[in-house]
Amino acid sequence: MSETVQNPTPPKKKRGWCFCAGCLLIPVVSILCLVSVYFLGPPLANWLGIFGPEAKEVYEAAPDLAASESLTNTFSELGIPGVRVYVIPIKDQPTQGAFIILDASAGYVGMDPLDTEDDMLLLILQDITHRNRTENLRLAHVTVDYRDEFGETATAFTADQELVEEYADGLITQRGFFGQIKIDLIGTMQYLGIDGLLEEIQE
Amino acid sequence: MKKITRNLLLILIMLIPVFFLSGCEDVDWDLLEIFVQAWAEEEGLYKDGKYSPYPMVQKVAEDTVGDITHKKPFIELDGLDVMRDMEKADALAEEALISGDHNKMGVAINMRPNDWQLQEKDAVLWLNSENSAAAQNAQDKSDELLREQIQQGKNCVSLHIQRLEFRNDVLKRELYTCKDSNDQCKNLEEAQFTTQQELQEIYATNTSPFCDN
Repeated sequence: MSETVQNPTPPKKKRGWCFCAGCLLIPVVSILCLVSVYFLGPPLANWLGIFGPEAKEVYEAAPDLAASESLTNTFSELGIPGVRVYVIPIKDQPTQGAFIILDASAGYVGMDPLDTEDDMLLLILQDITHRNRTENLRLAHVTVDYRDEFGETATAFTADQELVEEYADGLITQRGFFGQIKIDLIGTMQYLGIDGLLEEIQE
Repeated sequence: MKKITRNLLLILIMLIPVFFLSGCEDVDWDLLEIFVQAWAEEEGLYKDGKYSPYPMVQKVAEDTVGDITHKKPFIELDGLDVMRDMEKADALAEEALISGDHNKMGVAINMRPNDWQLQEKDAVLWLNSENSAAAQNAQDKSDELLREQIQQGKNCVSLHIQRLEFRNDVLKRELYTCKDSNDQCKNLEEAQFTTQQELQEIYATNTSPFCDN
Protein backbone atom coordinates (compact mmCIF):
# COMPACT_ATOMS: atom_id res chain seq x y z
CA MET A 1 0.00 0.00 0.00
CA SER A 2 1.51 3.10 -1.07
CA GLU A 3 1.06 6.03 1.09
CA THR A 4 -0.07 9.05 -0.68
CA VAL A 5 1.80 11.92 0.61
CA GLN A 6 -0.15 15.02 0.38
CA ASN A 7 1.94 17.96 -0.49
CA PRO A 8 1.57 20.41 2.23
CA THR A 9 0.51 23.77 0.99
CA PRO A 10 3.45 26.04 0.97
CA PRO A 11 3.37 28.49 3.78
CA LYS A 12 2.10 31.82 2.75
CA LYS A 13 4.76 34.35 2.36
CA LYS A 14 4.39 37.35 4.48
CA ARG A 15 3.84 40.40 2.37
CA GLY A 16 5.86 43.29 3.55
CA TRP A 17 5.11 46.96 3.73
CA CYS A 18 6.44 47.33 0.17
CA PHE A 19 3.43 45.43 -1.14
CA CYS A 20 1.01 47.62 0.79
CA ALA A 21 2.76 50.74 -0.44
CA GLY A 22 2.50 49.38 -3.98
CA CYS A 23 -1.22 48.80 -3.51
CA LEU A 24 -1.68 52.34 -2.35
CA LEU A 25 0.65 53.84 -4.92
CA ILE A 26 -1.19 52.51 -7.96
CA PRO A 27 -4.55 54.16 -7.19
CA VAL A 28 -2.85 57.35 -5.99
CA VAL A 29 -0.81 57.60 -9.20
CA SER A 30 -3.90 56.80 -11.28
CA ILE A 31 -5.88 59.52 -9.54
CA LEU A 32 -3.03 61.99 -9.98
CA CYS A 33 -2.83 61.10 -13.68
CA LEU A 34 -6.57 61.62 -14.14
CA VAL A 35 -6.50 64.91 -12.25
CA SER A 36 -3.57 66.20 -14.30
CA VAL A 37 -5.25 65.11 -17.55
CA TYR A 38 -8.43 66.90 -16.47
CA PHE A 39 -6.69 70.14 -15.47
CA LEU A 40 -3.64 70.22 -17.72
CA GLY A 41 -5.05 68.43 -20.77
CA PRO A 42 -7.26 71.20 -22.13
CA PRO A 43 -4.72 74.05 -21.72
CA LEU A 44 -1.99 71.83 -23.19
CA ALA A 45 -4.21 70.86 -26.11
CA ASN A 46 -5.04 74.53 -26.63
CA TRP A 47 -1.40 75.44 -26.59
CA LEU A 48 -0.66 72.75 -29.15
CA GLY A 49 -3.57 73.96 -31.25
CA ILE A 50 -5.46 70.66 -31.02
CA PHE A 51 -8.62 72.28 -29.61
CA GLY A 52 -10.17 75.42 -31.02
CA PRO A 53 -9.46 78.83 -29.51
CA GLU A 54 -11.28 80.02 -26.39
CA ALA A 55 -14.24 82.38 -26.65
CA LYS A 56 -12.27 85.07 -24.80
CA GLU A 57 -9.76 85.07 -27.65
CA VAL A 58 -12.31 84.77 -30.46
CA TYR A 59 -14.35 87.75 -29.23
CA GLU A 60 -11.49 89.87 -27.89
CA ALA A 61 -12.11 92.88 -30.16
CA ALA A 62 -14.32 95.85 -29.36
CA PRO A 63 -17.95 95.58 -30.44
CA ASP A 64 -19.06 96.99 -33.78
CA LEU A 65 -21.04 99.95 -32.43
CA ALA A 66 -22.99 100.67 -35.62
CA ALA A 67 -24.05 97.04 -36.11
CA SER A 68 -24.90 96.66 -32.41
CA GLU A 69 -27.08 99.78 -32.53
CA SER A 70 -28.79 98.62 -35.70
CA LEU A 71 -29.76 95.25 -34.21
CA THR A 72 -30.80 96.87 -30.93
CA ASN A 73 -33.19 98.99 -33.03
CA THR A 74 -34.79 95.76 -34.26
CA PHE A 75 -36.14 95.25 -30.75
CA SER A 76 -36.82 98.86 -29.78
CA GLU A 77 -38.79 99.45 -33.00
CA LEU A 78 -40.95 96.43 -32.18
CA GLY A 79 -41.52 97.80 -28.65
CA ILE A 80 -39.58 95.06 -26.85
CA PRO A 81 -37.77 96.53 -23.81
CA GLY A 82 -34.83 95.09 -21.84
CA VAL A 83 -32.83 93.88 -24.84
CA ARG A 84 -29.17 94.63 -25.53
CA VAL A 85 -27.36 93.49 -28.64
CA TYR A 86 -23.60 93.26 -29.10
CA VAL A 87 -22.09 92.55 -32.49
CA ILE A 88 -18.48 91.46 -32.05
CA PRO A 89 -15.91 90.80 -34.78
CA ILE A 90 -14.72 87.19 -34.85
CA LYS A 91 -10.94 86.92 -34.64
CA ASP A 92 -9.21 86.01 -37.90
CA GLN A 93 -12.54 85.91 -39.74
CA PRO A 94 -14.23 88.53 -41.89
CA THR A 95 -17.51 87.84 -40.05
CA GLN A 96 -19.12 88.92 -36.77
CA GLY A 97 -21.17 87.30 -34.02
CA ALA A 98 -24.43 88.81 -32.75
CA PHE A 99 -25.15 88.37 -29.04
CA ILE A 100 -28.71 89.19 -28.00
CA ILE A 101 -29.30 89.62 -24.27
CA LEU A 102 -32.98 89.29 -23.32
CA ASP A 103 -32.70 90.62 -19.79
CA ALA A 104 -35.69 90.36 -17.44
CA SER A 105 -33.71 92.31 -14.82
CA ALA A 106 -33.59 95.21 -17.30
CA GLY A 107 -37.29 95.08 -18.17
CA TYR A 108 -37.58 92.27 -20.71
CA VAL A 109 -41.02 90.72 -20.38
CA GLY A 110 -41.07 88.21 -23.21
CA MET A 111 -41.03 88.16 -26.97
CA ASP A 112 -44.70 88.84 -27.21
CA PRO A 113 -46.11 90.53 -24.11
CA LEU A 114 -49.36 91.66 -25.70
CA ASP A 115 -50.65 88.52 -27.36
CA THR A 116 -49.58 84.93 -27.53
CA GLU A 117 -48.87 84.57 -31.22
CA ASP A 118 -45.40 83.39 -32.04
CA ASP A 119 -44.99 85.59 -35.11
CA MET A 120 -42.88 88.05 -33.16
CA LEU A 121 -39.83 85.79 -33.28
CA LEU A 122 -40.21 85.45 -37.03
CA LEU A 123 -40.53 89.24 -37.38
CA ILE A 124 -37.36 89.75 -35.33
CA LEU A 125 -35.37 87.23 -37.32
CA GLN A 126 -36.66 88.64 -40.61
CA ASP A 127 -35.58 92.12 -39.51
CA ILE A 128 -32.13 90.86 -38.46
CA THR A 129 -31.79 89.09 -41.81
CA HIS A 130 -32.84 92.24 -43.68
CA ARG A 131 -30.35 94.40 -41.79
CA ASN A 132 -27.62 91.82 -42.27
CA ARG A 133 -28.17 91.88 -46.02
CA THR A 134 -28.73 95.59 -46.58
CA GLU A 135 -26.18 96.93 -44.08
CA ASN A 136 -23.59 94.24 -44.78
CA LEU A 137 -23.24 93.29 -41.10
CA ARG A 138 -21.53 90.01 -42.07
CA LEU A 139 -23.18 88.04 -39.27
CA ALA A 140 -22.00 84.47 -38.79
CA HIS A 141 -24.24 83.52 -35.89
CA VAL A 142 -26.95 84.78 -33.58
CA THR A 143 -26.56 83.79 -29.92
CA VAL A 144 -29.36 84.51 -27.46
CA ASP A 145 -29.06 84.79 -23.68
CA TYR A 146 -32.25 84.68 -21.57
CA ARG A 147 -31.50 86.38 -18.24
CA ASP A 148 -33.94 86.18 -15.33
CA GLU A 149 -35.11 88.92 -12.95
CA PHE A 150 -31.80 88.67 -11.08
CA GLY A 151 -29.65 88.88 -14.21
CA GLU A 152 -28.74 85.16 -14.09
CA THR A 153 -28.67 83.24 -17.36
CA ALA A 154 -31.72 80.97 -17.41
CA THR A 155 -30.96 79.44 -20.78
CA ALA A 156 -29.10 80.28 -23.96
CA PHE A 157 -28.95 79.09 -27.53
CA THR A 158 -27.03 79.78 -30.68
CA ALA A 159 -27.90 79.47 -34.36
CA ASP A 160 -25.88 79.91 -37.53
CA GLN A 161 -26.93 82.97 -39.52
CA GLU A 162 -27.61 80.66 -42.48
CA LEU A 163 -30.21 78.82 -40.40
CA VAL A 164 -31.72 82.11 -39.21
CA GLU A 165 -32.05 83.23 -42.83
CA GLU A 166 -33.60 79.92 -43.91
CA TYR A 167 -36.28 80.39 -41.25
CA ALA A 168 -36.71 84.10 -42.00
CA ASP A 169 -37.11 83.32 -45.71
CA GLY A 170 -39.73 80.67 -44.97
CA LEU A 171 -37.58 77.78 -46.19
CA ILE A 172 -37.96 75.92 -42.89
CA THR A 173 -40.68 75.90 -40.22
CA GLN A 174 -40.35 77.24 -36.68
CA ARG A 175 -40.15 73.66 -35.42
CA GLY A 176 -37.41 72.92 -37.93
CA PHE A 177 -35.55 76.03 -36.80
CA PHE A 178 -35.81 75.20 -33.09
CA GLY A 179 -34.75 71.65 -33.81
CA GLN A 180 -31.47 72.70 -35.40
CA ILE A 181 -30.27 75.36 -32.97
CA LYS A 182 -27.76 74.57 -30.25
CA ILE A 183 -29.10 75.00 -26.74
CA ASP A 184 -26.82 75.38 -23.70
CA LEU A 185 -28.07 72.16 -22.10
CA ILE A 186 -25.59 71.95 -19.23
CA GLY A 187 -25.91 75.64 -18.36
CA THR A 188 -29.70 75.37 -18.41
CA MET A 189 -29.64 72.35 -16.13
CA GLN A 190 -27.22 74.06 -13.77
CA TYR A 191 -29.54 77.05 -13.57
CA LEU A 192 -32.29 74.73 -12.48
CA GLY A 193 -30.22 73.72 -9.47
CA ILE A 194 -29.39 70.15 -10.33
CA ASP A 195 -25.62 70.39 -10.42
CA GLY A 196 -25.14 67.43 -8.11
CA LEU A 197 -27.31 65.14 -10.15
CA LEU A 198 -25.73 66.29 -13.36
CA GLU A 199 -22.30 65.58 -11.97
CA GLU A 200 -23.42 62.08 -11.11
CA ILE A 201 -24.54 61.48 -14.69
CA GLN A 202 -21.28 62.79 -16.04
CA GLU A 203 -19.28 60.41 -13.86
CA MET B 1 -27.07 51.92 -14.58
CA LYS B 2 -30.25 51.79 -12.53
CA LYS B 3 -28.97 54.70 -10.50
CA ILE B 4 -28.35 56.77 -13.62
CA THR B 5 -31.81 56.00 -14.97
CA ARG B 6 -33.36 56.95 -11.67
CA ASN B 7 -31.43 60.18 -11.58
CA LEU B 8 -32.36 61.00 -15.13
CA LEU B 9 -36.01 60.45 -14.47
CA LEU B 10 -35.69 62.68 -11.43
CA ILE B 11 -34.08 65.39 -13.54
CA LEU B 12 -36.77 65.17 -16.16
CA ILE B 13 -39.50 65.30 -13.55
CA MET B 14 -37.84 68.47 -12.23
CA LEU B 15 -37.13 69.94 -15.67
CA ILE B 16 -40.47 69.57 -17.37
CA PRO B 17 -42.62 71.47 -14.89
CA VAL B 18 -40.12 74.32 -14.75
CA PHE B 19 -40.39 74.83 -18.47
CA PHE B 20 -44.10 74.23 -18.78
CA LEU B 21 -45.32 76.10 -15.73
CA SER B 22 -43.01 79.07 -16.04
CA GLY B 23 -45.58 80.83 -18.24
CA CYS B 24 -47.43 81.63 -15.01
CA GLU B 25 -44.54 83.80 -13.81
CA ASP B 26 -43.80 87.43 -14.56
CA VAL B 27 -41.71 86.70 -17.59
CA ASP B 28 -43.49 85.31 -20.61
CA TRP B 29 -41.55 82.19 -21.55
CA ASP B 30 -44.19 80.73 -23.91
CA LEU B 31 -41.91 80.76 -26.88
CA LEU B 32 -39.16 79.17 -24.83
CA GLU B 33 -41.46 76.29 -23.95
CA ILE B 34 -42.25 75.61 -27.61
CA PHE B 35 -38.60 75.91 -28.42
CA VAL B 36 -37.50 73.45 -25.71
CA GLN B 37 -40.13 70.92 -26.75
CA ALA B 38 -39.23 71.16 -30.45
CA TRP B 39 -35.55 70.91 -29.58
CA ALA B 40 -36.15 67.88 -27.32
CA GLU B 41 -38.11 66.11 -30.08
CA GLU B 42 -35.46 66.83 -32.67
CA GLU B 43 -32.71 65.53 -30.37
CA GLY B 44 -34.67 62.35 -29.70
CA LEU B 45 -35.27 63.20 -26.04
CA TYR B 46 -39.03 63.35 -26.48
CA LYS B 47 -40.72 60.68 -28.54
CA ASP B 48 -44.36 59.51 -28.74
CA GLY B 49 -45.32 61.67 -25.78
CA LYS B 50 -42.55 60.30 -23.56
CA TYR B 51 -39.20 61.69 -22.50
CA SER B 52 -36.43 59.24 -23.14
CA PRO B 53 -33.55 59.46 -20.66
CA TYR B 54 -30.81 57.69 -22.65
CA PRO B 55 -30.35 60.28 -25.41
CA MET B 56 -30.08 62.81 -22.58
CA VAL B 57 -27.03 61.00 -21.16
CA GLN B 58 -25.50 60.95 -24.62
CA LYS B 59 -26.31 64.64 -25.10
CA VAL B 60 -24.76 65.65 -21.78
CA ALA B 61 -21.64 63.64 -22.62
CA GLU B 62 -21.41 65.14 -26.12
CA ASP B 63 -21.89 68.64 -24.78
CA THR B 64 -19.23 68.14 -22.11
CA VAL B 65 -16.73 66.97 -24.73
CA GLY B 66 -17.79 69.74 -27.12
CA ASP B 67 -17.29 72.34 -24.41
CA ILE B 68 -13.83 71.06 -23.44
CA THR B 69 -12.65 70.80 -27.04
CA HIS B 70 -14.08 74.25 -27.93
CA LYS B 71 -16.34 73.16 -30.77
CA LYS B 72 -17.87 76.04 -32.72
CA PRO B 73 -21.34 76.26 -31.11
CA PHE B 74 -19.79 76.03 -27.65
CA ILE B 75 -17.40 78.89 -28.41
CA GLU B 76 -20.46 80.92 -29.45
CA LEU B 77 -22.29 80.02 -26.22
CA ASP B 78 -19.16 80.76 -24.16
CA GLY B 79 -19.14 84.11 -25.95
CA LEU B 80 -22.00 85.07 -23.62
CA ASP B 81 -19.54 84.98 -20.69
CA VAL B 82 -17.30 87.28 -22.72
CA MET B 83 -20.28 89.65 -23.07
CA ARG B 84 -20.66 89.66 -19.27
CA ASP B 85 -16.95 90.48 -18.90
CA MET B 86 -17.32 93.22 -21.47
CA GLU B 87 -20.26 94.74 -19.59
CA LYS B 88 -18.31 94.55 -16.32
CA ALA B 89 -15.23 96.13 -17.90
CA ASP B 90 -17.36 98.93 -19.40
CA ALA B 91 -19.02 99.62 -16.05
CA LEU B 92 -15.60 99.74 -14.34
CA ALA B 93 -14.23 102.10 -17.00
CA GLU B 94 -17.24 104.41 -16.53
CA GLU B 95 -16.70 104.41 -12.77
CA ALA B 96 -13.01 105.15 -13.36
CA LEU B 97 -13.88 108.15 -15.53
CA ILE B 98 -16.25 109.53 -12.91
CA SER B 99 -13.89 109.03 -9.97
CA GLY B 100 -10.63 109.64 -11.87
CA ASP B 101 -9.37 106.26 -10.68
CA HIS B 102 -6.56 104.96 -12.91
CA ASN B 103 -6.34 101.67 -11.01
CA LYS B 104 -9.95 100.90 -11.80
CA MET B 105 -9.35 101.72 -15.46
CA GLY B 106 -6.34 99.38 -15.36
CA VAL B 107 -8.51 96.55 -14.07
CA ALA B 108 -11.05 97.18 -16.84
CA ILE B 109 -8.32 97.14 -19.51
CA ASN B 110 -6.84 93.94 -18.08
CA MET B 111 -10.23 92.29 -18.50
CA ARG B 112 -10.41 93.31 -22.19
CA PRO B 113 -6.88 94.21 -23.30
CA ASN B 114 -7.73 94.23 -27.02
CA ASP B 115 -10.78 96.48 -26.82
CA TRP B 116 -9.99 99.87 -28.38
CA GLN B 117 -12.99 101.50 -26.70
CA LEU B 118 -11.39 101.02 -23.28
CA GLN B 119 -8.13 102.48 -24.58
CA GLU B 120 -10.07 105.53 -25.77
CA LYS B 121 -11.61 105.97 -22.32
CA ASP B 122 -8.17 105.54 -20.77
CA ALA B 123 -6.79 108.29 -23.04
CA VAL B 124 -9.54 110.68 -21.92
CA LEU B 125 -8.89 109.80 -18.27
CA TRP B 126 -5.19 110.64 -18.70
CA LEU B 127 -6.08 113.91 -20.44
CA ASN B 128 -8.24 114.72 -17.47
CA SER B 129 -5.23 114.04 -15.23
CA GLU B 130 -3.11 116.41 -17.35
CA ASN B 131 -0.79 113.61 -18.47
CA SER B 132 -0.61 114.10 -22.24
CA ALA B 133 2.13 111.52 -22.74
CA ALA B 134 0.08 108.75 -21.12
CA ALA B 135 -2.99 109.89 -23.08
CA GLN B 136 -1.00 109.67 -26.32
CA ASN B 137 0.18 106.16 -25.35
CA ALA B 138 -3.40 105.02 -24.87
CA GLN B 139 -4.41 106.52 -28.21
CA ASP B 140 -1.49 104.80 -29.93
CA LYS B 141 -2.66 101.51 -28.46
CA SER B 142 -6.18 102.25 -29.72
CA ASP B 143 -4.72 102.95 -33.20
CA GLU B 144 -2.86 99.65 -33.11
CA LEU B 145 -5.97 97.68 -32.15
CA LEU B 146 -8.02 99.41 -34.82
CA ARG B 147 -5.44 98.57 -37.47
CA GLU B 148 -5.59 94.91 -36.41
CA GLN B 149 -9.34 94.93 -37.10
CA ILE B 150 -8.79 96.65 -40.45
CA GLN B 151 -6.30 93.97 -41.42
CA GLN B 152 -9.03 91.40 -40.76
CA GLY B 153 -11.24 92.97 -43.41
CA LYS B 154 -12.98 95.87 -41.67
CA ASN B 155 -13.61 99.07 -43.61
CA CYS B 156 -11.03 101.57 -42.39
CA VAL B 157 -12.98 104.79 -42.91
CA SER B 158 -16.19 103.57 -41.28
CA LEU B 159 -14.30 102.03 -38.35
CA HIS B 160 -12.28 105.22 -37.86
CA ILE B 161 -15.48 107.32 -37.95
CA GLN B 162 -16.95 104.98 -35.34
CA ARG B 163 -13.89 105.47 -33.17
CA LEU B 164 -13.88 109.28 -33.51
CA GLU B 165 -17.61 109.49 -32.75
CA PHE B 166 -17.03 107.30 -29.69
CA ARG B 167 -14.13 109.53 -28.57
CA ASN B 168 -16.26 112.63 -29.12
CA ASP B 169 -19.04 111.18 -26.93
CA VAL B 170 -16.64 110.33 -24.10
CA LEU B 171 -15.01 113.79 -24.27
CA LYS B 172 -18.43 115.45 -24.32
CA ARG B 173 -19.46 113.62 -21.16
CA GLU B 174 -16.19 114.51 -19.44
CA LEU B 175 -16.52 118.15 -20.42
CA TYR B 176 -20.03 118.22 -19.01
CA THR B 177 -18.60 117.50 -15.55
CA CYS B 178 -15.73 119.96 -16.04
CA LYS B 179 -16.93 123.09 -14.32
CA ASP B 180 -13.89 125.34 -14.06
CA SER B 181 -11.92 126.68 -16.96
CA ASN B 182 -8.71 125.07 -15.70
CA ASP B 183 -6.00 123.27 -17.68
CA GLN B 184 -7.81 119.94 -17.42
CA CYS B 185 -10.85 121.38 -19.14
CA LYS B 186 -8.70 123.10 -21.77
CA ASN B 187 -7.01 119.77 -22.62
CA LEU B 188 -10.37 118.11 -23.03
CA GLU B 189 -11.76 120.99 -25.08
CA GLU B 190 -8.75 120.93 -27.40
CA ALA B 191 -9.08 117.16 -27.85
CA GLN B 192 -12.77 117.49 -28.62
CA PHE B 193 -12.12 120.29 -31.12
CA THR B 194 -9.48 118.20 -32.93
CA THR B 195 -11.76 115.16 -32.96
CA GLN B 196 -14.71 117.10 -34.35
CA GLN B 197 -12.54 118.75 -36.99
CA GLU B 198 -11.21 115.36 -38.10
CA LEU B 199 -14.74 113.99 -38.22
CA GLN B 200 -15.94 116.90 -40.38
CA GLU B 201 -13.10 116.28 -42.83
CA ILE B 202 -13.93 112.59 -43.12
CA TYR B 203 -17.66 113.30 -43.56
CA ALA B 204 -16.79 115.72 -46.36
CA THR B 205 -14.16 113.70 -48.21
CA ASN B 206 -14.91 110.12 -47.14
CA THR B 207 -11.17 109.63 -46.66
CA SER B 208 -8.83 109.91 -43.71
CA PRO B 209 -5.06 110.28 -43.35
CA PHE B 210 -5.32 107.48 -40.77
CA CYS B 211 -6.50 105.13 -43.52
CA ASP B 212 -4.00 106.38 -46.11
CA ASN B 213 -1.02 105.32 -43.98
